[in-house]
Amino acid sequence: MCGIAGIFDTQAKRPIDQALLARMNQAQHHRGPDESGLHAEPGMAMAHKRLSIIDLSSGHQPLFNEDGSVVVVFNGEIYNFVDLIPELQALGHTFRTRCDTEVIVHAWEQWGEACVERFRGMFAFGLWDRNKETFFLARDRLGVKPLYYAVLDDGQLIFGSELKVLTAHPALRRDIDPRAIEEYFAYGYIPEPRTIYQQAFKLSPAHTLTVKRGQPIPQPREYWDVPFQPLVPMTQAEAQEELIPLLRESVKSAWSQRYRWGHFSPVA
Amino acid sequence: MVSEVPLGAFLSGGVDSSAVVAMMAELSSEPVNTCSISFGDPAFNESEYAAQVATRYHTNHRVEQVDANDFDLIDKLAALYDEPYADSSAIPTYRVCQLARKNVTVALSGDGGDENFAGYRRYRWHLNEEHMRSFIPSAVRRPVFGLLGKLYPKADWAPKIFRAKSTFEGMARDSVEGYFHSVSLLSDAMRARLFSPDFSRALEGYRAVEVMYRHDARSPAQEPLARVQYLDIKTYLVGDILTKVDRASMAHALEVREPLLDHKLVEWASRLPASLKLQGGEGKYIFKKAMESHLPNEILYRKKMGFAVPLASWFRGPLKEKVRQAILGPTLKNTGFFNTDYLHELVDHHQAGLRDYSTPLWTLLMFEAFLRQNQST
Repeated sequence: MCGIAGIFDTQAKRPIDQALLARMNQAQHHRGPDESGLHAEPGMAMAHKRLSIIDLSSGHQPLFNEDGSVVVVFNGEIYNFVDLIPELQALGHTFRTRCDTEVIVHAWEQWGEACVERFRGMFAFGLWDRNKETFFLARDRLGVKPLYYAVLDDGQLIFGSELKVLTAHPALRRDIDPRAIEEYFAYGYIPEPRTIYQQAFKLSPAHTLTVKRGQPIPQPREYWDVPFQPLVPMTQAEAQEELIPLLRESVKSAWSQRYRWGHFSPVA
Repeated sequence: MVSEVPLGAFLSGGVDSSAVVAMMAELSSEPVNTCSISFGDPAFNESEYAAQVATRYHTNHRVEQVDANDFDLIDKLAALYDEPYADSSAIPTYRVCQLARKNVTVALSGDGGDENFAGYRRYRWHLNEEHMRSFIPSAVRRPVFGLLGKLYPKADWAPKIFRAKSTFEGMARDSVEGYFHSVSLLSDAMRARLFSPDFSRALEGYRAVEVMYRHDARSPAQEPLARVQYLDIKTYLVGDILTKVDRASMAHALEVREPLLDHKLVEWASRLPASLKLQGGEGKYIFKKAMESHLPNEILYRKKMGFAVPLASWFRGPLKEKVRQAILGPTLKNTGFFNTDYLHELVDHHQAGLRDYSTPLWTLLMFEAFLRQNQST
């Protein structure tokens, strides 16, 4: 579990203030006290705070694809990554690690924006594809992992796992959004996609944001929704019988890494 | 190569966390690490139920009693959330994460069960109102019940079922307005009094219910129950619950995973007929039925407790002065957002014991803490 942060120049390849990004990242130090990493190039920089869960030695972030043209910072767990590795290898991708972060860069190369549809789990990530001059933000289907972003007046897009990453940037305008206050006193929190600041937003669950340098910034796109339809006619007995194996599968999946790496053998 | 980190689960003694622990215990050949916190006050104490499940599944269970008067966290919470956030269960959630982190790095939690399988009590209320609404065309409902609501004396000290005023008002609303009203911390009427004329003008007619209208307009759900579940998944689940769990766990470098929010399970549950979710007044019906083979009825069919924080008595006792200073002091006043007479009324009437305004006061207190921490920077 980690924190991510970044600055992307949506207009040009102006130099990024790395010291500033390091300070933004430091604001969320508590999210990942074990390790931090930063990558910068003209017009783009991203940073990461890491809490070690598995495979510390090969899971350093930001993480790159084979030729270094795609780079990602990632917070969360992709529970089905072990299934995706052989599929992507069969399609010609070369893995240097056995971690879920690397699955993201290869899945992006293979499936583009639709990569998120292949992931099962909780995630928020920022990805940069230098060849396509494309920046990509994504958040998991139910919103387990947080993701905040803002487009500053000078055209820089900044993002982070918490709002304090954004407010660490001096150019973020702190104008309070009156609508957020109306919402806060009704709900007790500020619902997605708004934040208390007019200039900053939450990326809504099951949404991605794709920004191409030099082009207008589009609205986030929804890639999934809770279906609710069609209703599946089911008797109580049938539903009862289906539920336990589904639940067991969900618990097992959230536990997957321990399973897959064989630390103990499941009874079932 | 692969670092081994200890994994465990929260075990509150409620249906959802007990179900997750039962599944984990079945899947594992080793004892599962579980933990829960207990409060001194038995009215808020679920720890004996947690202990029952722990015994049945032979978990390594750890319980720690936390002081019910845990208000030193208030300023810390404001720093943790960065923007106003008013769910007071952020306090016990913070503590349970702190406890879990002493033994594990990763904990499984049971969040999402109430949204997916319709466990909240408010769903029953909503369906009752919907049922009544369905008998009377809206052209009649709005003028007639709107008027009755205005004439009927307010009785907000009475249990909800006896509040004819709110029933009349409820009948005058449409489904989304009705549900919005039932989850609002401060009702439309209270917010209208809370905000200053200048601030109300700045809103340009914007109302918080529009968040729900926006989701409802694109909702694939058709049954009345499914429609409000959809609203909760899009608003409360992510904005309140998941935000709380993320900030509380991250404050202690603990990773929390949410098996009941696995999208395969969510998809399956969403397509169930309403009668399998809510039946005979029993929420989460099919979930409880299915778990009967794994958990005792005492766990499955008791009144939901949740993490409750004794705000009302804090604000009349140990926090009496703090509340007055925070809410009636310069921080809120200087914003010009609020009607100061109404702020006085909320504090005075609560502290005199005339009304229970603990929720509005907590909401204001957290707003004030946000302003104080972010003004200077």
